[in-house]
Amino acid sequence: MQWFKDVVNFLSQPQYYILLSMAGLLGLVYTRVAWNKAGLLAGTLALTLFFSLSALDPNFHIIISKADNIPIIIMVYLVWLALWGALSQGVANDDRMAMGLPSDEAQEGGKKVWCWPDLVYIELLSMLLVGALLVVWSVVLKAPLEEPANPVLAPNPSKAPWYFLGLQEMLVYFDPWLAGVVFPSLIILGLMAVPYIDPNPLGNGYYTFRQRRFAVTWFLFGFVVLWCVLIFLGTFLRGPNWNFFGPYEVWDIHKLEALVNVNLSEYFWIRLLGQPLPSFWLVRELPGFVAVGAYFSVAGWVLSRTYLRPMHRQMSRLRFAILMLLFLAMMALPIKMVLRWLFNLKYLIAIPEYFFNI
Amino acid sequence: MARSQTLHEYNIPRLNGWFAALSVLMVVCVIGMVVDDYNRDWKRYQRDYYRLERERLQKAEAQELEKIGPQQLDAARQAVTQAQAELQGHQDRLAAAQARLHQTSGDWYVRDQSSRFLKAAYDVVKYEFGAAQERHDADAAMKLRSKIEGMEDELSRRRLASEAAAARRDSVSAQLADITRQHDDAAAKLDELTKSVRTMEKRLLKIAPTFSNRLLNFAMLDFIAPSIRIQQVLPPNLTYTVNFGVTARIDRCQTCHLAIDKAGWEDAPQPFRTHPKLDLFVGSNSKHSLADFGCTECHGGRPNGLDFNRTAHTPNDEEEAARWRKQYGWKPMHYWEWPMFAAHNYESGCLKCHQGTRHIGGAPQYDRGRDLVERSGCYGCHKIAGYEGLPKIGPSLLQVARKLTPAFAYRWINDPKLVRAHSKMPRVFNLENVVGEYRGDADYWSKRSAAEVNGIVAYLFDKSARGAYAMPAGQRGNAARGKELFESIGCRACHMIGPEQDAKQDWAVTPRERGPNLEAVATKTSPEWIFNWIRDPRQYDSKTAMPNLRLTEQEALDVTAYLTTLRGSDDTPYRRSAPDSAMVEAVIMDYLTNTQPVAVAREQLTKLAAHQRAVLLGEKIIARQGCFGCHEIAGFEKTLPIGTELTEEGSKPVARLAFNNVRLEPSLEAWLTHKMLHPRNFDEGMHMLPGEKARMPEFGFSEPQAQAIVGNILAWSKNTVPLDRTKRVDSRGELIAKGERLIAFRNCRGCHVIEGEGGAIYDVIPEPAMRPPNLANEGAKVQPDWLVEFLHGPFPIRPWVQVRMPTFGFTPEEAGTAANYFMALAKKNDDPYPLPALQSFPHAKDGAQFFAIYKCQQCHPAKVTAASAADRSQLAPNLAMASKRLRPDWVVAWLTDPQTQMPGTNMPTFFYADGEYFFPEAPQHIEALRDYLMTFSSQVASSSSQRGSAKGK
Repeated sequence: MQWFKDVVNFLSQPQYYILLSMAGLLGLVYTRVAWNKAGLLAGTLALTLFFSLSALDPNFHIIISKADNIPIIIMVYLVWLALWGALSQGVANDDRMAMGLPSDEAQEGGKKVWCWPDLVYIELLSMLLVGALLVVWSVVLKAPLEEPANPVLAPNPSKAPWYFLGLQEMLVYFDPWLAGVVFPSLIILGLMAVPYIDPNPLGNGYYTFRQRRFAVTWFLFGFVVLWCVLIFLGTFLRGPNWNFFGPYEVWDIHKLEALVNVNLSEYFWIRLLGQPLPSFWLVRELPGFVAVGAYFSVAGWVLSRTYLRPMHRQMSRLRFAILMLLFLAMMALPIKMVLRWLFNLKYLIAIPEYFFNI
Repeated sequence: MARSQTLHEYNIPRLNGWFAALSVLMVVCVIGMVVDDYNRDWKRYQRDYYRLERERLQKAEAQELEKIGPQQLDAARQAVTQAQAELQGHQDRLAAAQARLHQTSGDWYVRDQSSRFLKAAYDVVKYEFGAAQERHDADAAMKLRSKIEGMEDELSRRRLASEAAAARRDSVSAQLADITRQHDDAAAKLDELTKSVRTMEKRLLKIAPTFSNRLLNFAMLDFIAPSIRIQQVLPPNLTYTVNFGVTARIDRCQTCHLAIDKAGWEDAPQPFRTHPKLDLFVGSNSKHSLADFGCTECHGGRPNGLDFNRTAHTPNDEEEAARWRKQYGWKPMHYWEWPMFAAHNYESGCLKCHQGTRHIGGAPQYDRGRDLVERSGCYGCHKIAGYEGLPKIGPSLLQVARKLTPAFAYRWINDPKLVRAHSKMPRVFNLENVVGEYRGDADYWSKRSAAEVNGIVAYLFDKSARGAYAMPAGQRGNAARGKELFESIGCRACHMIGPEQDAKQDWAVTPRERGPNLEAVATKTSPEWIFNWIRDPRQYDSKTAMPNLRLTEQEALDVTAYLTTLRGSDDTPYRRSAPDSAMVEAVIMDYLTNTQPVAVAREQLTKLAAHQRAVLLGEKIIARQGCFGCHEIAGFEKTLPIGTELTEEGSKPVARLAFNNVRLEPSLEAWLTHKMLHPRNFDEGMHMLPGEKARMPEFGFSEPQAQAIVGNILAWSKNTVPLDRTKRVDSRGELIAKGERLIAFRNCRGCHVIEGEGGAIYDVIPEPAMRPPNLANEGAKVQPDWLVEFLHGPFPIRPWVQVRMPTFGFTPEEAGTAANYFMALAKKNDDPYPLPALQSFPHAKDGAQFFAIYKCQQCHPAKVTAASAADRSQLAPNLAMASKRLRPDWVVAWLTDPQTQMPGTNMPTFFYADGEYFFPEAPQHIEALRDYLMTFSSQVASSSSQRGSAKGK
């Protein structure tokens, strides 16, 4: 078993973990293998096997048996089930529509039911069931309350509430004002903007994947990989000092990681040109400004000519520009992660003089 | 109906079924929640407690009833019934009297009420009159005044009527009492007889599981007036700090420890046991009452916790921990920084308030620990509040070259316990973290230690004063005579030879350990050094505690001859191995490159010859190991101690302790105990550079010793107790504390019993008459001036005692400190002296007669002859020095009742016992004797001649 644990521990390092999650999601979405009953069974079984067998490992057991972490396990199942529900329905509809049949939802479309008792009654029943479950939960798993916080004895690791663990992970790669202020605002604004950016009526009122490949894929990428998967990572794989630990590793408070990250300016001026850093910050950070500027302009232009060419044609310029801004901002996270892992890149632009870093 | 059915998405009857099932589920869950919330351990404990109390009460009630006796009880009850029957006979009279009482009472009630109501109206009018006066309404005031006067007349009439009615009622009442007297008396008698039983029954009813009690304690109803409730005490102004916020200490311990303040539960099972020292703690009349001190301020633990774990109980040992785990699911509560002290550390809570006193009488374990800390010299390396300014415990090394050979010093520093198993000097080198291989060199540490020790020796001898010691030429000491002297004159009060210590004292500090153990002293130094040292220790070490016993040259030679025979069992000659020069170089570079560039260090090194290198290395090692914490070493006079400050060590959070690879219970106590026993063990399995390794030396503490020291360290914590609750040291306490330090440094308790402790030398002097005196009440006994003079130049008071009072070479201040100490102990520190009322001694002449009558001189001879010395158990000090030495008030107290002044003394009781004088003139006799002694100048000459001879010795 040790080799298996070693393999899992190895693959759980953030670079592999994130890349594997991305590849896994895209693979599942595009190959369609999982979106049938067998897939549901296999996926659920795989998750259950993973958790129950891993629970035999003492270190993993400590983590998953914490009362705070039970909701995360439930979340994993719920995300999987919701994902399966949506995509299996979408795939089924795609197949029906390929055969010239209307979608499931369209077929049922004419049907109307009573508000009472059909809707309100089952809402009441759901409330009762969920209420009972919550009562039992609160009795069986005590709230993980501790003594009043003591600033001289901060808990280690200090973790954000579970739903913010994705944000906390972003803080590893970005300056706090970006990861803590700009990106969260962009997420909210972006989600609010989606209906206005995307006037495409396809998929309204029914599930489909084929008709909305871009929208479904990149929404899932943002939600599953950049949010849920990061929550999982923050819960199970980040230990003391926010160091990274494989699921079967001891959370050793003394673990050290070499902090050898450098800024882009250093790469450019010192390593490439072999000269000291310019003393004026604007000159010093010029490569960074160029890189960031290029990312948002050139990458958008390239995408509009290639992958998003059809969309670019259909959309107004402003719409497309906003879409690109949001899309590229989202992609900045995985890109920054890759840069960090491959090149130990700390910041693209680092202006400590004005507390500004990207 | 039919139409709607077709439109339903769901089967409604089935949904109804679901609704029913889910409702039942919800109700069951809610009930479960309430039950879960209601069931608390402490409620179970309280129910158990009340059950136990009921059993006790019922038993006590049965006993009480038995004590009263069933016959007596029956008789009393019968008397009542009989009286009742008799009363039945006078039914008519009784009824008539009761009717009359009813009527007269009613009459009085009406009259009394009308009187009081009129008074109320009268007050209103009086107010109105005042108001009219204020607004200068003369007319209204005039009217009101006449109204008031009318009312006053009416009031007095009504009062008379009311009083007359009351008198009528009382007379009828008296008549009624006459009729029922017999019955009332019988009932009162029965009441008196069963008074205690009724009290018990009342309490029983209160705690019995009656319906109403159960209802009041029932879930969801127990907010009204439950008998099972949280018990808490809120001692005023006791606080603790969480998150920089000061929080009031609310101790809820009594919620389970219900009988902690009630006597009589001493044998009850926990948690219902009475506090074991109710007279000193918890009890309302004790010095540390529950209301003032609570529980957790002293015991530690989480004050408002309500279950076993969340109150942070700490088990006493592994066995108890195992039992608790089984019984209560115990585990250490790591969210709480101040866990309870384990039972063996209870005394650690005392120091919080008892600072400034050297010994806390009621805390023997703490006091022993403190002695150990002092005796081991912990304060040499660690700054500890309360231990500042204590003298270094090791000998001065300023003249070490005059005492030791380099070869011996090398061997000694390498492993002092090898030379002298009972030395107090700890092992510094060759400990577990500095032996064996390093970076592939199997001999690295043996070579490095050799180089380091060699360096220390080189440094010490390089800086030492020089000059050989000499002995008188042509004279030889007699070892047998020397041994006799060694054993009789008092050396053994401070020195032992080999393992003399009692097994029972394996953890306690005995004053006899004060000086070095003299095992193998002959291999350590030369006879010449010993001779000069014992004749005058201060010529070698001006700060030594070793006193001068005024040995004559011949005596010193004899003792030297004897000590020279103490060679120990280790016969290998001392050899100083030449250090590995490459290693010396490497170690020096280690140190030099810490502070300067490698090239500069290398250059500095190449300039040095081999000896200079050794000296430089020695300096670095002494600085690293902190040898100067215990020894005076030239060049380190102002160096700061190397250890971490321990003043608040007891408040250190567990998270700050490096357990490394050592598996221990995660507690400060466990960590500290391990550190005491194995100071270098936390380095085990760590990869460390030589300079990073732990450097605390190994003292070789036994486990009880380690525990006693740890008990002290735990006590050194942040003090949060308000001043009104702390022990405040008054001027007398300060004198005592200051004196205690001197007494400890000079080891007075090695010879004398002071405050009931000490007299260590008594162990080796079997004959009581030959022992140094018990100094009980010394301050009340002697005159301060005499005491100071005596301390400066002691002379024999009991010439037959062979143990010599040493000459300590006190400074005037030290002698004053000692004298003040004894005065303060006897509460005489504020007395004016000489006592003004006793300046004249008019009855001296009568005293001379009594002196002869009572044959004082039989035991208090002016001169000790060979014949009288033979029966020395009956001898007492020469009274010639009494006028200079003794306090007149003490002489009176002493003559009156010697046994209370000095229990067990041989002095006979002539005048007084059990609160009564033997004859009426006794006080006059005593006074006369006192006057005689205080004017006893004719024989002073003999005293001073004795003193002269003592000085000659």
